Order: sequence, then structure tokens, then C-alpha cells
Amino acid sequence: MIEVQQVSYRVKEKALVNNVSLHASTGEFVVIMGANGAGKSTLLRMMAGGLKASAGRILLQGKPLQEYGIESLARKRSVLSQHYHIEFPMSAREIVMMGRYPYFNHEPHTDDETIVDEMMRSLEVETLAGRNYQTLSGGEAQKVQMSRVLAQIGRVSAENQKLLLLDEPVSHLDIKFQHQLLQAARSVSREYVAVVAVLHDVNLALKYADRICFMKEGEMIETLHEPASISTNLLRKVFDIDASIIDHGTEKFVIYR
Amino acid sequence: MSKTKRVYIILVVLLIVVALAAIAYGAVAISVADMFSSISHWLRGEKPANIYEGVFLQIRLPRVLLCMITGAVLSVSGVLMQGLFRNPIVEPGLIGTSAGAAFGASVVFVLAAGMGAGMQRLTGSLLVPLFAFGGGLLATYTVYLLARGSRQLNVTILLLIGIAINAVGLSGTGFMSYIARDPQARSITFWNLGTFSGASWFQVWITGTVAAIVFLIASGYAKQLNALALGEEQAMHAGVDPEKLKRRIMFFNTAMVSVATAFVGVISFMGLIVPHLMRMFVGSDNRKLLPASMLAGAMLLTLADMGARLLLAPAELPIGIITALVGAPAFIILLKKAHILQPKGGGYD
Repeated sequence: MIEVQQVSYRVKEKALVNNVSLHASTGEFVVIMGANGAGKSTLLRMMAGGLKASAGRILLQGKPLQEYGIESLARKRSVLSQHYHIEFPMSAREIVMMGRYPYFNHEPHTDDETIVDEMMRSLEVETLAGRNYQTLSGGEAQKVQMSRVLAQIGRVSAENQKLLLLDEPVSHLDIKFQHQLLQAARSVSREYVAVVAVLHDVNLALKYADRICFMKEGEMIETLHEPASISTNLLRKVFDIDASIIDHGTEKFVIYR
Repeated sequence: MSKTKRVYIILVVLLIVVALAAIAYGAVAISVADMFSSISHWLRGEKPANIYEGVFLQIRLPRVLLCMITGAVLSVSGVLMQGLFRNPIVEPGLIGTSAGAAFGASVVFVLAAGMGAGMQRLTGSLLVPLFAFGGGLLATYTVYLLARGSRQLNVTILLLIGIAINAVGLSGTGFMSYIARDPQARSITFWNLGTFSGASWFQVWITGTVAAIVFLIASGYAKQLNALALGEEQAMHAGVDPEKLKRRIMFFNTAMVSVATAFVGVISFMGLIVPHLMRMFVGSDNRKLLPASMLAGAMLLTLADMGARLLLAPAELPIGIITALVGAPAFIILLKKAHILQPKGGGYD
């Protein structure tokens, strides 16, 4: 679905992202991890098309990202950012409907309305539909944004595959909301959607990722094709921390010391 | 019937009532019968039969029409600018557009008046709106560029820079008025506080045409402006080209505000109050907010102008005094509210 080929991003000779390659296919949930300033968000912004790579190229379904128009790109990929601050009183449903903007001209079709309702239900925010977005808690707001982003993905099929990018989607959420949101992302990744997410919590990554890519100082230093094979050495290398790994049935957990 | 539709219908009815009242009352009262007979005479190409018909056709009607168009222009502009700057406390009077446009127009008025008959003929034509447009665009763009921080637009800085650019525009206009020989152009209150006393059919046509074109274009951008509320990069993710959108909105918006300002002077706070008022009734979806603000703006400015004519009749108040008297408190309340809303839990800045 998406192919990042030897991509770099430099600001005044300083490489924020250096020669990184990455790919994600539909049916995959790929997680990018790394310490603060490792270049994860910069990489994701380039994959979203919001930032132009200084070198290398990014292909979306075999076609360079720059060759997509902004609107046709929006019908192919959807992005959840870290922060949304909205200055105007708008209902939560109006926000979610924005996800359907690339699909209709002036007035939404019935299909758009259906998708919006479906996505709000899937994240259990349908009761917030009429609420002013500005009055929502941080967690509720993020779930509304996730509904919007999923509404932008909309309907998928073998002929119409899509990409979902999540930039630290759960950083401000409580534990239940974190799982709810990642569960929603994981279930769309099972149906013709490739998901790439930046996460900070190793245990969440272990639980949801099919593959974990580790970045350090702008470079991709390790890819875990089998998340369960995580090691304390790797964690020390990436995060510069001492950790223990405990086995709990088939799952692994990382605890920090 | 949806709530929005009900709001539209109420606004249309109010607008018609206010417009009829504004035409009827004034130094000379005009009856509805006079209005009809005047129109029928005009349609048949005949001269007005009496003074009432003449006042109606040549003074009152163009004045009320210009008032409605200007009110709609300023309010729609408020909506557009608030969407563009992603902030509910922006309007053309606050960020230099009006002051810049007034300065541009005053340059033509004053310099052309000093240049003799040849240039004077030009001042009646498109030169005034053109210079107003230049001045308005320059001022707005300067404010925008200076206020735009690294990523987010800082409102405090925006308003402060707006004040500075406004001061430059107004002092420029003041200087032009000072060196002016023409008594009309000498009247500095005209530029600073606005008046509809000189309304003519020519002004109605120019402002109306520009406004109609811009309204049509703007309604096509309503959806994109909604998405811009998410943030510029986030709007791009949702399929909107923020740079293109900003350039176009700023251009068209400045064009219509400048043309209106060139003819009636600076009328402040309209663009602030009307969209705010309408947000309470139809919400912040620009697809609903734009038409609602257009109707409400037309109605409210006509009402304000009627007040300007009648409060001290037969003398006339500058309309800007009335809009500022109502608008300034509204602005302060908005500022206070915006400040309270800002800190939010959950790490949202």
C-alpha cells in the first residue's frame, strides 16, 4: 500500500530523518517507535504528504505521493494528528462529517450520513453527536477525531484499498480509551486498510502491532517482524533504558526499572 | 422544517420589513403608494410625478440598497476572515482591511481633486474602488504575514499588529483629508465612522456586482473553510489545499470589503457581531453561517442606518458611531469568553 524508499528530511543540513525505508501493506498494523526527537512524527508527516522529503521517494499504491492531488489523496489515506484545537462551537457530528468532505460537493449524500453514524457508534461516541466539540473532554474529543478519520477511510474493498496514519493517537487517553481506539484501528487494518501508527507505549505496541519499527536519531535501526521477540538489549539500544520482559501466557510485557 | 430554514425565513421577513421601514421613514416620509407609483413611472420611462417619488428613487432606495449590500458584505467578510484566521474575533475593521481600503480611496479622492478636471472624471469611475482594493489588500496581507507565527496564528499578536496597521491606514487617511481641498474629502469623520448619506445608484451597482460575485464564490469554499478549523495541516489531510484556499479567500474578501469601504467609509464591528450572533442560531458550519450572516448583516446595518438618520433628525449621525456603540461591548465579551475557553484538560493546548 505504502512504500517509503530511502527517505530523508533535512533542515539546514541537520537530518531529522535519514535514509529511512518502510513499507506497509493492507491487512497490516505497523507501529513506529522511538525516543522523543527520533524523527517518527516527521516520517509520518512525510507519509501523509504534508511534508516533502529532501531525498528518496514515497509510493502510495505504486504511485509517487506528489502525483496525487490533495483531494484524491484524501480519498486514499486518512491521518489522525496529536492535537486538534477548534476555536468555533461545532457539534461533534459536524466534526466527524468533515471526514466525508472529500466525497461530496455541497451537501452530504445519505451514504455519507450512514458512514458518519456507523463510525461514531464504533467508537461509542454516538451519544455525543449533538454536543459542542469544545466542551468535550480530551479523551472524548480524540475519539470524535478518530471517528472522523475512520469516516474519511469510509468504505473499502479489494479494488479500493486505503492507508490510515496515526500520530501518537492515544497519548492523552485513559487506559480504556487507549485500547478502544487501537482496537478500532486494528479492526480496520484487517479489511483492506494498511495502518501505520506512532506509539510511545511498548506494551500497547506489543499487543496491537504486526510489526514494530524502531527509530533512533532519524534512522530506522531495527524492525521487529515478530513483536514477541522483543529483547531488553533492543529496548536499551532504542530508548536508553533498563527494562525486564515478563512472559504471561502467549503475551509479553515490558516493565521498566 | 429544519431549524436553519426557519432562521432563514425569519431573517428574510425581518429584512423586508426593515427595508420598507427604512425607505418610508426619514426627513421626508414616503408612503408605500408613492413607492409603487414611482417604480411604475420609472418602468415606463417617465419622470417622477412628485417630490416623494423623486426622493424615493434617487435618494432613499439607493441608500437602503447600498446599506443592505454593505451590511451583507461586512458580515460575510467577518465569517470568511474568522474562518481564514481560525478565530472568532477577527473582522475587516480589526485587521486593517477597512483602514487600508479607506486610505487607498482617499488617495484617489484627494490627489485627483488637485489634478483638475481630467482626473476628476476618473474618480467617478473605477479608480476609487481599485485603489481601495490595493490599499485593503496591502494592509490585510501585511497583518497576516506579520501575525503568522511559526505554526499557529497568535491572536494577541494578530490584534496588536491589526491596531498598528489600522493606525497607519487611518493616519494616512487623516493626512490626505488634511491636505484635501475638496470639502467632501476633508471630512475625516466620513472615513473613520462611515456614512451612507452620499449613496448613489452607481455605488449600488458596483458594490452589488462585486458582492454578488464574491458571495457566489465564497459559498463554494464554505466546506473547505470548515475543514480549515481543524488546523492547516489537518485540513490538508482532509483534502483541502490550505495555501490555495487562504490566497483566494483573502483576495476575494478584500476586494468586496475594499469596494464597500471606498464608498461608505469604515464601519467597524459589523463583521464581528453578526457572525457571532448567527453562530448562536445556526452553528458554525459555514454552509449555513454564510447565508444567515448575509441576511442578518443586511438587516442590521439598514436598521443602524435608520437609527443614524432618525435619532438626531434632521441632523445625521455617522453610522459607525452606532455600530461601534453596540459592537465594542460585544467584542469585549467575546474576547473574555475566548480567553476562558482556551485552557483545556487532557493536554490540549
